[in-house]
Amino acid sequence: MKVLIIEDNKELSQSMEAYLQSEGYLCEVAMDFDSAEEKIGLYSYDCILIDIGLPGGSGLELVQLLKNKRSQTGIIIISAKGSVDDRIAGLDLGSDDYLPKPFHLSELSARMKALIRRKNFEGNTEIRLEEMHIDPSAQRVTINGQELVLTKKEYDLLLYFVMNKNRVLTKNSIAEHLWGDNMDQADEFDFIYTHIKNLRKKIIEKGGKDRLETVYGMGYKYSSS
Amino acid sequence: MKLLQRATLYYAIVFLVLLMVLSGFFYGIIQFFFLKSLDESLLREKQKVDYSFSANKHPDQLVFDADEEVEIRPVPLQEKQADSYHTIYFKDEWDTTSSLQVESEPHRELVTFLEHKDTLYKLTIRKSMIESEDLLSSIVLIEILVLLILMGSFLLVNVWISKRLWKSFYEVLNKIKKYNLSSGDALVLEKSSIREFEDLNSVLQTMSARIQKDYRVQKQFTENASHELQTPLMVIRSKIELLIQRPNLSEDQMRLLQSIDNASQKLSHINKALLLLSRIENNQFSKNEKILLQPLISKIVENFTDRVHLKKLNLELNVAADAMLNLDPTLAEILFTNLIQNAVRHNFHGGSIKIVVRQGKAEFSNTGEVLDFDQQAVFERFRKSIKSDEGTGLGLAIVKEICNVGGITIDYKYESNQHFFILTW
Repeated sequence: MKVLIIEDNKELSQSMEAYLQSEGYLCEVAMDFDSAEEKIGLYSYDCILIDIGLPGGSGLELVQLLKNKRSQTGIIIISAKGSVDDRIAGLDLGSDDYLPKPFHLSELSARMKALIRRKNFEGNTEIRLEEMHIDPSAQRVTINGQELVLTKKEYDLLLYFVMNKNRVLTKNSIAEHLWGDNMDQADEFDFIYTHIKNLRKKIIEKGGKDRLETVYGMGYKYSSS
Repeated sequence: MKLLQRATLYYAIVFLVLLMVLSGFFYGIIQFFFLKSLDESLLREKQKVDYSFSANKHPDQLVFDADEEVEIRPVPLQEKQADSYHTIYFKDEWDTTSSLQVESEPHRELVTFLEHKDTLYKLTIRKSMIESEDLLSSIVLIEILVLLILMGSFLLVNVWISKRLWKSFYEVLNKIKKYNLSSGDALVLEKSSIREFEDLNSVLQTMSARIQKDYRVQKQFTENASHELQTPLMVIRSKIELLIQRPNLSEDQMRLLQSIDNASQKLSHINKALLLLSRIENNQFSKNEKILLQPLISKIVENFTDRVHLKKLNLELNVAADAMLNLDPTLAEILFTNLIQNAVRHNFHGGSIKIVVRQGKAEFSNTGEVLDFDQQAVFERFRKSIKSDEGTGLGLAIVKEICNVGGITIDYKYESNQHFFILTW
């Protein structure tokens, strides 16, 4: 999987690169408009992350450029602007997703995986993890063929874990993924704990293996070989 | 009190005092001249007597005016004194018209002495002053009347002139009253033909332009500052995320990282809220449209279901199907999210929330502790309870700002252990 990260902040692009590399992606970084344009012209990628405010031009022009090329690349706009107009403009031009800064790397990774899955498997987006089987298009989970009945939040939580398997997820990142950013930190632990407890219980009931690990002081991790 | 009213009042007071002083003065002067002429006529009578003496006529033969009384009486020589005039009061014997109750009438009296053939005569001539007194009071009355008319018409003319002169001033005042700094429009004042007002206009225009500019720079600064903070904050958070993936981190190290993550999360919430505030102020959300409130509020409440359950809150939702609001959809969502979040956050465990929405009015009430700061400050930025560590302290400031741009009136009150936020539009 080849990914192009177009982001002018060096530290941030390094963070994204490091995180995505450890997920097994092949990453390239462009830090200004011209080099990004050049790379888009020369190579093809599975996914491109585009920051809107770039030295030398707007990221939106790059989206336009990709669309003109009829490229099948997945495009995620990452922008510090966060204004509704930018979001609409980006999605109108044909980007696949829009992630306002600041975001969690785990959130980015989850969105990328969902996007790539959608693009590459053309509808057949099923995820298999040992005995577990997830069909995101139907929001259906089975364990050893038995259906696992989950609430919306439990399903979202499980999918988020699966998308970020073998990664430590902070409570803040989980809370933001599930409830947006109007959550109080003091409440987060209780919520997440309740949902995780229920999720674990349901998985074990269906004969699945509990792979949710508590990382003390920090958050949770879904381990899978 | 209005300027014109005050000026008129002052004028009226001055006029009244002046009127009193002047009428007294008039009375004095006129009386003085009357007495003078009366005294002169008395003197003439004396001369008449004197003349009759010199013509060897007996005074008894003299004829006097009807209103005069003359008394001639011989007195010892040594009683002679200089002529003297007095005003005395008594009742004429012949006056039968006036009743007994009537006070004596004023008379002018001349006491003089005449020598004739070695005999000294004391001559007392009296003349009634009643007619001259009547005349005097009529004259003074007419004077006062004329003065009153003069002053009254002066006041009226003054009011009329002032109104005309101050017209442009009141126009300017009206313009300034209606002037809205955040609208971004320059203050435009009409030209005045009066130099002082023209000066005032130009000073006001220069001043408002300067304030306008400062205001814009200030607003831009907040937006730019929050925007610039966004990236470094994101860097911190991304590095924490990378760091926690390292194996062999001790639990203690994890806790430290969690604290840093929490703090940076909070910082980015504050930053986002500030950015949002300045964006609302800068009118970046102006795509107003008619929004049906029932689906919107139900959706938001749905998002809070988890927290409502966790806190065991009793939520009562009553939204009229026809309730609509003309507002930017993004702002509408933020407005109700913040209000509901506020009601959930500052609530007791097992408390209650009540949301009643009708066309033109929405009422959010929730149980909660009384504010430990001034009620009026509830919408101020960074104003929050000492006990509450949650939230950015900007949620209600954002609510207020949205209400401002959306033309919604919002009121807060605390009654029977409940916080009430009432929106009317």
